[in-house]
Amino acid sequence: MDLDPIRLDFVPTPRLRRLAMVAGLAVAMAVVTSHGELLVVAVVPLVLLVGVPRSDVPAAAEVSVSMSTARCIEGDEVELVLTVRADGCDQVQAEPVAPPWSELTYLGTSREGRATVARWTLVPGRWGRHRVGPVRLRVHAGGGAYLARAAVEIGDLVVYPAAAALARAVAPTELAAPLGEHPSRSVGSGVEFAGVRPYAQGDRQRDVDWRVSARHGDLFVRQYAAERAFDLVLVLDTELDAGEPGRSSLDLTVRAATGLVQTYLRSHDRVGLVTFGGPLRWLTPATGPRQLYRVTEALMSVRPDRSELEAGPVGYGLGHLPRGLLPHRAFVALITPLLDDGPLDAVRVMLERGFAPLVIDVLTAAPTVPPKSKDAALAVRTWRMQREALTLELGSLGVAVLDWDGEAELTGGLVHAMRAARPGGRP
Amino acid sequence: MTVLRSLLQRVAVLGTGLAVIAVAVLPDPSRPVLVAAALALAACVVAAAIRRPLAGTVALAATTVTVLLAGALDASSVRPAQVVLAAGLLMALLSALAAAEEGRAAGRAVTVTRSRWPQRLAPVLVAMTAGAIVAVTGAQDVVPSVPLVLAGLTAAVAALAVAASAHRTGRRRE
Repeated sequence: MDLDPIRLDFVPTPRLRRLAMVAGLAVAMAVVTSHGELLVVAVVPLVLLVGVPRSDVPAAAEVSVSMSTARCIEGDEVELVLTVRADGCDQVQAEPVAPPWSELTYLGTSREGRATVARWTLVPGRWGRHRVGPVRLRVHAGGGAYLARAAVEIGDLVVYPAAAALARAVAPTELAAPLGEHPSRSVGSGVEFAGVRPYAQGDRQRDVDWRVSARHGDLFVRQYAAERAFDLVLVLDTELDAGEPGRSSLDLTVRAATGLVQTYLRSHDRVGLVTFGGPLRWLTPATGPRQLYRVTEALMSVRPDRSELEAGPVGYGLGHLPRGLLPHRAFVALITPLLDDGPLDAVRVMLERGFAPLVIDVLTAAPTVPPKSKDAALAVRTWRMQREALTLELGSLGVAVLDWDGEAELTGGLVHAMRAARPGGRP
Repeated sequence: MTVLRSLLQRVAVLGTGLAVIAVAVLPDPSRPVLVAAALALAACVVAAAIRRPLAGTVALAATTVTVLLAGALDASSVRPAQVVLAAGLLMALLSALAAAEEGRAAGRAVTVTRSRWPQRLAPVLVAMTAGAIVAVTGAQDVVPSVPLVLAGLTAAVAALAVAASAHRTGRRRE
């Protein structure tokens, strides 16, 4: 491994000053009291000081730091490797600066020739673009009389969100887009059996169901369900983020969206994305691996950066969304923590445009109440009632609300919710 | 593990501090020595508790003054041996203080490399041997004379100057 030289600027430690202080005190006391035997106390520190002169302290060390990968998914293990060669130094201590919400575990050291290799495991617990490092080095030399501090940069780590668990891509039975993988109610040229009907002129011979024909004494042909694609538009409410980091509402929003996007794009469906609350952003529905890349990149930037936080609310709601963005009969899923009236306004906009969205509630945290605080308890009760009122209002609009805690499998809830919500029309 | 290490470091500071003071004040301490010992003990307790460099330096200075005061005020026959032992224990106290303060400053840093223990111990052994030789030489029956005392003190000051020059932080040749 190639090691890069780093300059070590050593400074005296308290140990050096203390050795000099003990020697100085002993000599001074011996001179003042004319007790020569006290010089013995000065001899030990003086010999130690002369034994490790400043000129013996090295001016540089060789170091390299590497990370096993620059991209990973939440919960993956990333190995950090530090290689140090510090000839003439007494001790080298290292402390990598881990990104927030990540776990760093020291694995140990090994020797590789004249260099020492130290290893750590980093497990990022939250998606995003994180800066890993630097590795802070503390190098001791001169018998502990000198200390040099240095920092070695590592690099950036892109942590993609872990996908919510989805067993399969479920879809409503009324689908519009042709050429997909979901069997629909209409008859077509799929592979899923849909029934039999009497033979008509022009039917293919290979579609004749001979068993049914023999039973009825007339020709019958098999029918198959048409296989259609599914247009899914995910609308993410990114205005508020509540809950502990790693399981906050925004974390769960992004994980749910990632799971849905991956599953439906794998089924060759078209998936679009809209984020509101912060800056209004959208991606028109499309399919294929390129869309997965686009959506993932868009999801990685939903957490507001410093400039967006400083800019405050942008003020562009879903009403500013281009009308042609949502395909006819698209299925809209609104992922939100339901913390304010923003989602209700978003649902109204969708209903006005002829879409009945499914709302996925991702709030898992509740405010903690200080004990013996009646005002706080009352505030929390009011907050709970407001959320219940919001859910009831959504219900009165005919919108299905699916609670998701970040752990449960989403498929079952989606099947149930899709019965209630029809794509591209009022329920 | 970190808590246990921190506790051991504090105990080491207190233990070596107590040992230095005990060796210095025994067997027959005078009042000024007792006062200095009490102050030194208090400083050691504070240094072990807060593990800050300033407190450590004060504790070491107080302990050194106690040893020197005891040596100056007590002229018993066992005193030279006590002074050598106290000098060694002072170095142990210095190392214990450095370890405790380092433990606090290093935080979660791990030790990647460390020189071997004979390499670390050799300078201390050499220094202790030199101290013992000086103590033995000083205990010889020599007729005291002004030139002899002056020569000894001049040698000590010269040694101090040489030690200081070895650590001068001037521009070094690359």
